[in-house]
Amino acid sequence: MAAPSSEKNGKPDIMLLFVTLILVSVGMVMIYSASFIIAQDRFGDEYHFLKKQILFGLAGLILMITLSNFPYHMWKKLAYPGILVSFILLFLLIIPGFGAKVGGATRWLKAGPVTFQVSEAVKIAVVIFMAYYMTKKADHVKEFFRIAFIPLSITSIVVALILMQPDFGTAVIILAVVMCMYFIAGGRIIHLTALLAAAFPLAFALVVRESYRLERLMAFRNPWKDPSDTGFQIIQSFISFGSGGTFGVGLGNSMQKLFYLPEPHTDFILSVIAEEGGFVGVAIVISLFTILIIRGFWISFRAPEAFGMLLAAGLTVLLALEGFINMAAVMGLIPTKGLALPFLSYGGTSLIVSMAAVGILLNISTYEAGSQGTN
Amino acid sequence: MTKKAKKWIRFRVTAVSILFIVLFVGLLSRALQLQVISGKTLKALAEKQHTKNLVLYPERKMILDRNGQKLAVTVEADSIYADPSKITEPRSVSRDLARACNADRREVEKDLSKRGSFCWIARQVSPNQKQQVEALNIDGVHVIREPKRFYPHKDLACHILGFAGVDSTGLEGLELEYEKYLKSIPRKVLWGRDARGKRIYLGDNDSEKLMPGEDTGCHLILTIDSRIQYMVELRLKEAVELKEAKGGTAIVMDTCTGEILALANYPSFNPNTFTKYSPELLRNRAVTDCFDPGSVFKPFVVAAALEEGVVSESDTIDCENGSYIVGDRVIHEAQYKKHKKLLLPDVLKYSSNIGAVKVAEKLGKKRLYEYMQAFGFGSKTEIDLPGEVGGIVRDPGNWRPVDFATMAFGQGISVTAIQLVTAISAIANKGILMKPHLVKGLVDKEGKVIKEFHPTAVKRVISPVTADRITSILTNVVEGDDGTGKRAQIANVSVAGKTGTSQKFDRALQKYSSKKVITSFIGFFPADNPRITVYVMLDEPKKDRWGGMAAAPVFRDISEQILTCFNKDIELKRVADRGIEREMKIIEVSASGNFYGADNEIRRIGLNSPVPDFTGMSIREVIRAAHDLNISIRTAGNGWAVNQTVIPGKDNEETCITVFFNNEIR
Repeated sequence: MAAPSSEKNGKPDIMLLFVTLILVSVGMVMIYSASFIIAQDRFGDEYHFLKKQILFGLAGLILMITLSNFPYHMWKKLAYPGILVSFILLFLLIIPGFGAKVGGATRWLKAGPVTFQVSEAVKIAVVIFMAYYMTKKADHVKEFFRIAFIPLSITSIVVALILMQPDFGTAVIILAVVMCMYFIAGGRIIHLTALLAAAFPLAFALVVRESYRLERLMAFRNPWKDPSDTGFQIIQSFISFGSGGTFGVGLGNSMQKLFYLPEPHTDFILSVIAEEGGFVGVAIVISLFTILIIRGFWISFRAPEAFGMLLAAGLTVLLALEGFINMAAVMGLIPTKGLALPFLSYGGTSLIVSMAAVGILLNISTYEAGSQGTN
Repeated sequence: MTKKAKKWIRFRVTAVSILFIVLFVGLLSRALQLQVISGKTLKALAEKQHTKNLVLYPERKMILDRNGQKLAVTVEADSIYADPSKITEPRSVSRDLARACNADRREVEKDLSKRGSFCWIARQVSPNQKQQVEALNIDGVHVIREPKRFYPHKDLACHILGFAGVDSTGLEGLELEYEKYLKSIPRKVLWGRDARGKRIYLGDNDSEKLMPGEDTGCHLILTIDSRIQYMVELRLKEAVELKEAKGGTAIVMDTCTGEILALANYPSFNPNTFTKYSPELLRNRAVTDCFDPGSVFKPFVVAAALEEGVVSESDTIDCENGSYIVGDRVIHEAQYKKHKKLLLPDVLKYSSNIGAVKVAEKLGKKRLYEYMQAFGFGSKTEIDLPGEVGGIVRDPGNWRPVDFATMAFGQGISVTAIQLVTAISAIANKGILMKPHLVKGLVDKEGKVIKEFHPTAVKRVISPVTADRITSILTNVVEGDDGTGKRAQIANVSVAGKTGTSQKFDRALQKYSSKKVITSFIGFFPADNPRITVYVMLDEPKKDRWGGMAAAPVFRDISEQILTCFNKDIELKRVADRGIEREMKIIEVSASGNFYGADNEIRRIGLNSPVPDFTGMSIREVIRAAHDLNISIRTAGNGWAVNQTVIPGKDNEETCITVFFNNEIR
């Protein structure tokens, strides 16, 4: 395979950088607005969450800048080690004592004073692995065993480990990203269908086995049926949206964050934005996300070679999916999943990893296909 | 890597990006639907759960007698409430609470088992009960101070004052009649609340808008003199007990102005604990109950006959030796006395039934009916009390001869005690009927007079000459040694009056009972310049059934005491005699130049006001209120007032009050 043109002959995508920074800033403001009461209530410090998020944001910024200067094809070398480290870390979580159990799920790994959410980083590792593997096997793209079985097995192990935490949402996202990348890489539709067919019964079994998932599903279908229990979260989210109306109640004036919304600064940050900023605020957030993914796909479109294309597409699909699932969930379009909204939700790992993804995208954007003179 | 493969990848990337753009457009339309299209419904839901309307009732205003004596005041009482959502074991908690508050355990448990964050456990408990509840120290059970109506003199003037319920709402008497003055416009405050039910202040602008009207209430100044009232109640009680009567009523009125100086019914009740009494006792029977007046009605018949000129004092009336046939009935004198021929004044002096019938016959049905109406019988006096009835005066077209005859001596007509007092005062007041009233004026919290209720003349009923003639006849009833009312004589002051005993209509037997009677005395003094009208009525006395025996001495006792104790205070102005024509309606006869003594008396009430309860006010409001009340104040903390160094309601003895503020109000 021909080495890609490694000359940096383009400037990083300023628009992507700009949109990312706006989203992160909006996130900071909204996290403070959404959390100061809860922070005061729980920690006696209204800035508790804001302070931490600013630290995470700075770490994310440093990482983003670093990665935007880190030649993206170097990631090829890290593809296999990355997936290996992911296995190890995910495995460690299962061993009692290493993981930090929060709300019935073990998602955080403690390393001294730092805890971090393994599956967030695993997502990136999977994307890099897929991009590399699918590029390498580009010639065998029609062969089921090589092109589909290996990545499927690797992904299955990752997904299985994540499900053991349990973290159903992240598992779904990883599966969806893998399928998208498989499709983009030229995988056969029939393989994809087979994959889906295989995944569906598994997902169904998981949903039925864990009663809370079923409850969430039922709540999503008719939240008004039992507004005090299962449907409570989603109804409160609806009320936030409705309360905001077209122009919102004004920054800081949300009433729904006063313990009506379960997690106003994390999963339901968009509900607070909807209440304080109204439809206008939500439209701005959705537009920013749309611009972000269009730029991401544009970078993929213009990347000089297959690895860059797949990597950029995979990272974009990852961010787009996370954004879509969170927003669709808080608006009652899909079951609530407990997934963060990239850039906006409170949460260190999510923010840092999302910014890292943007950093990689920024680096890819500095390489232009046109320079190879393919036209 | 081939160009073709790249193109394919680009094609697929484009496809995936279009998919995501479609998904995001979907999100946008969902947001549009939730926020703009069905936004109103959801917003209504939001408002419902975010806000709570708190109605703050300003302190109910006082009721004072004509001398500034406080008859009804508002004090703070402790009430117990609970947050059921915080109570995990309603069963044991309700048992403890019920024991401490003396409440029904099952009721409490029912309330505690309900959803929600508020329920009353017991309202206005005693300090002892409050301590017991606090000692239990149950999470989710709280004590709140709320205003409670308090009647410091207990039974005194209970039927006049009526009472107010737990939410400071007037339910009876003046409390009900003057509700709109006593109660200030409640201040509605819209509070935000979080999901845990905590109150959140929504900001200055929003809540100030929702507080219309300041303290708009007024204190009531009554025409009642609590000293006379007390004495009347005491005498009435003694008489009822002594004569073993079922009950009684006594009214003292300022003859010339229609001001009620005292009004009492016995048995009375304690308005502080009104719930413990039967509704029967709570009624102001002087205005709500009507009865056959008996012989006290005769003066009105004679007055009408004199006014119409159908009889004169020198006429002799043939009293038929004690039995007179009217229609199919025989009329007898009381106690089967036998009178032959009596001069007109003696018909009243000896209270001859047959004589009264003869006089009425001379007057005729139509004119008798007209005069009854003119004296106010059959219609309400419009006294400022709720529940007044107008009595029953049947239409003359329906009168049988016997009805007409018995009406002449006060049987077969139904009147109220207040009607009798008002009507006899018209005779005493040179023929002018005054409207009886209980409230002299309204003053605001600063002591400024907001409204005065001047004496109101309703109409002229008889000429002053006739009034003087009937007054002298009635004076003879009391002053004559053989008059029926001689037991009402007072030393040095001539009294005009009339006794009465009427049979009560026994509904079970459908006839007038000779055992159940109402015995009464009505009169006024001094006869030459009447100022005070007194009416005493005893209901079903077992001893001394005749009015002259039972009621006249009570009249005498009350009158003597009024004269000896309050000589100075009853120098009441005579209604100016301006030659008012009969039937002519006039509004104001005498302007009371002297509004219950002195103006500074009213001011004193305002300035002497106790330390207010600052709880719930903002710092600004507290400072303004303190400035208005001339209290110096120190503030501590931020937010809304939660505590103060001087207990609300106490007179301010400290030079400076410290008010503590907190950002959270519970």
